[in-house]
Amino acid sequence: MPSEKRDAALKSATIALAFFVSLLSVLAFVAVLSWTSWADLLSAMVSKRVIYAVELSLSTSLTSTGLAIATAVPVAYALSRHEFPGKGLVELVLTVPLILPPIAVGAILLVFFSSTAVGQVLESIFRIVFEIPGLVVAQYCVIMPITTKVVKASFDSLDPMYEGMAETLGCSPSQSLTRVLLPMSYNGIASAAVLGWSRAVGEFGASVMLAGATPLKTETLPISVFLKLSVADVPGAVALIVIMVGIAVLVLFGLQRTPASRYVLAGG
Amino acid sequence: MLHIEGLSKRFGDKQVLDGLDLDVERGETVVLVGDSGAGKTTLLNIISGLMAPDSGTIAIDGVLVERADGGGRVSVPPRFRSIGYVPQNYILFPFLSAYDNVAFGLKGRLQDRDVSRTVDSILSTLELEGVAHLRPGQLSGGQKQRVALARALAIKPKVLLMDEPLSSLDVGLRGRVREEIAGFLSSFKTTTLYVTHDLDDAFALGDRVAVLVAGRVVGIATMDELLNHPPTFEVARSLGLNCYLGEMIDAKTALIEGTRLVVGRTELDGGSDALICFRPDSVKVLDGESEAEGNVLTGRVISAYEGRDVVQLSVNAGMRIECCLMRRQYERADIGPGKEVKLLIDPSDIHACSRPSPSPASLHV
Repeated sequence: MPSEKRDAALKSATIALAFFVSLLSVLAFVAVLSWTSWADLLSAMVSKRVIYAVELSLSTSLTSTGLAIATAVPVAYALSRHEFPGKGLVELVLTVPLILPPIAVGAILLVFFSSTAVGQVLESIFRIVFEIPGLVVAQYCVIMPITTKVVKASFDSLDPMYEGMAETLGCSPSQSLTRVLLPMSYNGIASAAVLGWSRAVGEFGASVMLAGATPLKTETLPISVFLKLSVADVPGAVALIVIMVGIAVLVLFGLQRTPASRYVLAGG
Repeated sequence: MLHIEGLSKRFGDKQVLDGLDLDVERGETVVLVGDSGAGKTTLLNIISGLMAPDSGTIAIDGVLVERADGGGRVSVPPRFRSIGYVPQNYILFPFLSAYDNVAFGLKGRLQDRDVSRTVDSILSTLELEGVAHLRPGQLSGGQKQRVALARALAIKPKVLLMDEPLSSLDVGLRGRVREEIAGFLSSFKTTTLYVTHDLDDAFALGDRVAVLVAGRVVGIATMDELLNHPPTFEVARSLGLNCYLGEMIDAKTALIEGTRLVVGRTELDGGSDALICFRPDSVKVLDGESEAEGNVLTGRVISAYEGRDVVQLSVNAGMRIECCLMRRQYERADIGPGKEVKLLIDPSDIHACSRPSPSPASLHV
C-alpha cells in the first residue's frame, strides 16, 4: 500500500475509534436515562435525601480540597526547592496512596482511628469514624498525593532563578515564595485544586470504609448512588448520576475558560 | 568596590572556578571574557549570593559578604549584598508589567510616592515609558533587556552584575543594544562586572577586560593593552590573536615552527624563548603576484568562514595563521579552501615577549 494511502487509513481508523469509544459512553448514559421518566427524575432531584447528598458532597469536598491545597503547597515547596535527608522516603510515602485502591486507604484509616493510641486521641477530639469529619479525612487522604504531585510539578517547571532574582531585589526566601513563586504557580495550584476537588466529590471507597454509609448522615453523592442501588431505587440512583454528570460537565465547561485548563484537560 | 580572592567552585569532577582573584574599582566596568562553560555565570551567582563557593572570599565596598574557608563561614544573604543582577535570560517576572518589574525591588524600601518617582525616572532614562504597562511577554528582546537593567539599577546597587545580556538578541539588534548599554553604564556610573564570550562587548563596554581561563582570571587590563601586549598565551588565544611559542634568533627575528618572522616590537635578545603574537586584522592577503616589503608568507587556505562583509581565513603557512579580508576581495581574488595565498604581516604589528612562567600568580598583568 502506498504510504499516502497508509497514512490516510491510519488517520481514518484512529478517528473512527475515538468516535466509537465516545459513543459507547454516550450510549451507556442514555441507557441509564431510559430507566426513569423525566417526572421521576425531577421529583428525585428535589427530594430531601438528594439535596442533602449534594450539599454534603459539596461541603466535604471543598473542605478536603482546601486542606489538601493548604498542605500540598508547603510540602511541594520543600520537595521541589530543598534537599533534605529522607526526601526520597517522603516522596515514596506520598505516592503510595495514588496506587492503593481507595477502599484500602479507607481500611487503613479505619484501623488507625479505631485501634491505635494516636488515632484514638484524634478520634476522641474530632469524632471521625462513621461521622461527617471521616468523609473529609478520607477524601483528604485520597486527594492529598494528587494535589501535592501537581503543585510540585508546577514548582519544578519554574526556574529557581526567579526566586533568586527576587532575593537579590530585597526579598527574604519566604517573601520570594509569596511574591514570586505562588503567583507564577497560580495555574498549577488551580489545576491541582480542580483535580483534587473532582476526585474528592466522587470519592467512594475510602469514604464508605471510614465514614460508613448512613442515610442522611454520611450520604454523599456516590454513597447515595450505592445506597439507592442497594435497595433497587434505580430512578433515585439515575437522578444522582445525572446530577454528577451535570457537575462534571459544568466543571469542564468552566475550566475551558481558564488558563488552568491547559494543565487539567491536557493531563499535564 | 568588588574584591574577590581565591574563589573556587567544583561541580562533581569539574573544577569550574579555581582560585579566582578579581578586583573591580568603584565606578568602573570590567568585562570578564571567557568561553561558554568557563564559569562566568557561576561566578555571578556566587557574587550575588545565589550559590555558595567551595572556598574564597568576596567583599563589596569593604564589607565581607562571603568567606568559605577557614576562620568561620560568612555568607550574607543576597538581599543584603546591594547587588543588581541582570541575568542571561533577564528573568523578568511574567505576571507583572514592565513598571511593576522595575518597582519590585523598591516596594517595602521606599514610600509608594517615592517608588513611583524612582521608577518613572529610570523608565524615562532607559526610554521605556511607552511600554511600562506591558508584560514581559509583550516586549521585544531589546525592551526586555532594558527592563531587566532598569530593575537592577532601580535599587541603586553598589555593584551591577550583567550576564551576557546580549546573547539572546538577534544579531542585527545586538550592536544597537550594546551601544545603548554603553551609554547607560556611563551615565549611571555604577560599578559593573559584565561577563560575556563576545569580544565585541569587551571592546564596547569595558574600562578594563579580564580574561577567564580554566577558572582563573589570567589577565586583566584595558583592551588595547591586552591586544598589543598579551601577558599570556591563554589571553592571546582568548582574544583571538595569532599566538605562537617560538624563539628569538636575534633581536629582530623570531623563529616559529621553522618559519622566520621579523618582529617590530620586542625587548628580547637573540636566543631567548618568546611568545609571539599578532592580530588577525594585521595580516594582509596579497592580490595575485603583487610584491611587498615585510614578512611575506605563502600558504594554503585551510578553511574560509564567510560572513556578510568579512571572510575569516585559516591559512597553513608553516604555522596556522588566522586572518580576515573583505568579502569583495575574497570573491574577486578567487580565494578558497585549498588555494594558495600570499600573506603580508607588517613587522611593527608583531609583538614578542618572554614566555610567561607557568606559575598562575605571574599570569596577571
